[in-house]
Amino acid sequence: MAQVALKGVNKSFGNVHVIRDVDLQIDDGEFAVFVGPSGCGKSTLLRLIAGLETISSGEISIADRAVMDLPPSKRGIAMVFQSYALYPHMTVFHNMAFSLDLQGFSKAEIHERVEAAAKILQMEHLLDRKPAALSGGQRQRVAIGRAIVRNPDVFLFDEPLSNLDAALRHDTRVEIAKLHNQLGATTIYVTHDQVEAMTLADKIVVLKDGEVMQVGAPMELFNFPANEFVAGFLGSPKMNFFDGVLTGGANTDQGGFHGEGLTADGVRLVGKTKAIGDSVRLGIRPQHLTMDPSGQLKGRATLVENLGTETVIDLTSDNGTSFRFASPESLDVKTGQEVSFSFDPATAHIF
Amino acid sequence: MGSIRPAIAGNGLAIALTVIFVLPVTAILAYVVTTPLDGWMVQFGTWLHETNSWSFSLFDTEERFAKIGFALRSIVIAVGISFLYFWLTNWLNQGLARYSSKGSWGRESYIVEAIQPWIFVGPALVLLLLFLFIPAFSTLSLSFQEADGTRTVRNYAFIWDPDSLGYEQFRYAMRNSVMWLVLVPTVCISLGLLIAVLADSVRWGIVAKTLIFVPMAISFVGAAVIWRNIFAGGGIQPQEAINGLTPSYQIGLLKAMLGHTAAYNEPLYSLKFWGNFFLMWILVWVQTGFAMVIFSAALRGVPEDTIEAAKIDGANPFQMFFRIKLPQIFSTVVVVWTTLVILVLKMFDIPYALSANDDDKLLLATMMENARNNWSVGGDNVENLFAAIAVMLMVTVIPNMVYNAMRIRREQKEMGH
Repeated sequence: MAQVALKGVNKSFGNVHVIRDVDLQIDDGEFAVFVGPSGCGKSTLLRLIAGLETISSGEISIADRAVMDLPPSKRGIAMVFQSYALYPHMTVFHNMAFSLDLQGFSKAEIHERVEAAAKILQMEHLLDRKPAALSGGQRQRVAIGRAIVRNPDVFLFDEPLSNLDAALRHDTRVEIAKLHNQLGATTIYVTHDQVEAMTLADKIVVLKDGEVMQVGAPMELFNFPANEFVAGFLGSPKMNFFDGVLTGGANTDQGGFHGEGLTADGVRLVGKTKAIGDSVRLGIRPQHLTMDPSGQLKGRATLVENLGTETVIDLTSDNGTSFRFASPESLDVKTGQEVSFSFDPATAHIF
Repeated sequence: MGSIRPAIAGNGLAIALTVIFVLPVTAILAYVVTTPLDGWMVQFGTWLHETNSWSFSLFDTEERFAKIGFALRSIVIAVGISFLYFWLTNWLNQGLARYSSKGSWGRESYIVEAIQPWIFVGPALVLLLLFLFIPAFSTLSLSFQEADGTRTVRNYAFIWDPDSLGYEQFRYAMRNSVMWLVLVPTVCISLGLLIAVLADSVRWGIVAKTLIFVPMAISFVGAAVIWRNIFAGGGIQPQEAINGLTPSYQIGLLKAMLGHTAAYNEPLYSLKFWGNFFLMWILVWVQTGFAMVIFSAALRGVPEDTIEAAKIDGANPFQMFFRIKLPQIFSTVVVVWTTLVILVLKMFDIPYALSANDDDKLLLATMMENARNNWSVGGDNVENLFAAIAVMLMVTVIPNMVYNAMRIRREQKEMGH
């Protein structure tokens, strides 16, 4: 059963077309992450689902109900804002109780539900405080608590972690994952951080300029990116790209590549419309390069970053193309040193 | 830093003494040096007088232009002296600090920063002391004196003694003041909020807001005169002209529209008891724009995401306003309320311009002026009686002050200071 379904959704602000023909299905209990660079329309898409913006054309349904004409409160959603959006004049308890109060729940039931949510989030001791007296992480919890008490069909998170410091961000991310397992509710989560996307999602939706680039499970997107944008966006450090031409395998899914001194056959070929001789790009992840004195890819190291868990080397090839190499080992490479690499064509892609 | 105190005190004293000596001398010099300007103004006036052949006497023209010249000089000199004050004190402060700090940069900036606030606050403190605190205390002291200087509470007899001067009027003034204090701020704030909210949701809101704000620029007397023409008696019957200046009949727009005839010729603001509300309306008309503008700005400051969160939580427009927006701008409401309360307590012009002689329209301020004009005949220490009324006026401000002080303290405590 599709919990959230979008059909041909478009949104324009005046002349600016920010969401273009988005079709999407998110299943019951699924954790979907919208990811993309800033300005790609991911937050707008979330706000369209929430009902904070009206769609220009298309259909949105939540729990098999068309919701385009329903106000946000009737759509069965709850939202956690980037800035938390807590009501500054209310205590934590009243922040969480507000929606229940508006729905006319009895005092006893409100108490029961707020306390249950507070218990899940381990913040019973904060209920009497006002938001100004809370830390960033605590405010985040309250914002999530406010969503939980409504017991919605769908949770919407709008970049909820971007105002937290790195350590707290990790902890909260783990907690959100746990919470999702515990509640099992359908969740849509917007982020520009691919680590959050990779770690949290059952399904990642990559967006660019208001268009869906690819939808799929994290590892599917990582291993089989549908286009150069997705390949470059997911994975850290970014995938390396080399310009060249297609030398074989047109109309199949295995192609040959030649360019920038590199030759490879049996590489995963994306897009079946390419003909032999068309200019294409070869993509290789930095992790998929191997140091090999007889390798065909040569470069001069321009920057060596030892991160402890990983070594990342920035290099420039003979024809001036920059690329990166990442290795889990700590390497003894000096800036300026010439290094050669080989790669397994099976891990590369042609776009 | 114990040894730095004498340096600060010494520098401060040196600056104060310099200012007390230099500024008046400069001002006097400036006036003396620029005196010929008045003569030039007079010459200019005479020339204008002759070329335009003005009808009044040449002497009048000369006197007026001499005054204009003096006024212009005063404006320039006063601004110049203020500028000189800040430049001089700052220069002295820096220079003296460098001299007395003996080369230690930390000491120098410490001394400069210790004195600097007083340079800015000093003139205001002196003015407050001279023109507010000293008069207030001498008023307080006067109010407890007989004409011959002996101590008494007899001046306050109007509070409890039905036979004393002003007993009746004081009761009216208190009753009216309370009505004004309750109604005017309440109506202004309600209307201001309503308009601020509604005007934001229509396209021509900015025009509406401008129109409502315009009366702010009209003086209270001006507003009183405008509304007199609307509230005036409705008859078209000629009234007795006074000095040939008062129009021989009143317009009375409101009454004319209501179709009242000469038989009901009493202006609405003169009605017994109900007249008060017409007077209040004038102040509401003037001040609603003020409340509206402040609330409009405050409402814009309410974070958009809390409004969106409330939308998702299911708040309807009413709940949105009363439970989300209003609480967030509550401190602004209190500030506006305080401003209006103080304004009402000071209110003098509107009732004085329209119904100065009606006892039942009196406010404390008009009561004092009424007493000064009308009661001086029989009483032996009426001066001191005015002082007592003025003290009552001050006393009425106290609850407002206490409330505000408590609120500020509570807010600071909540913020964890």
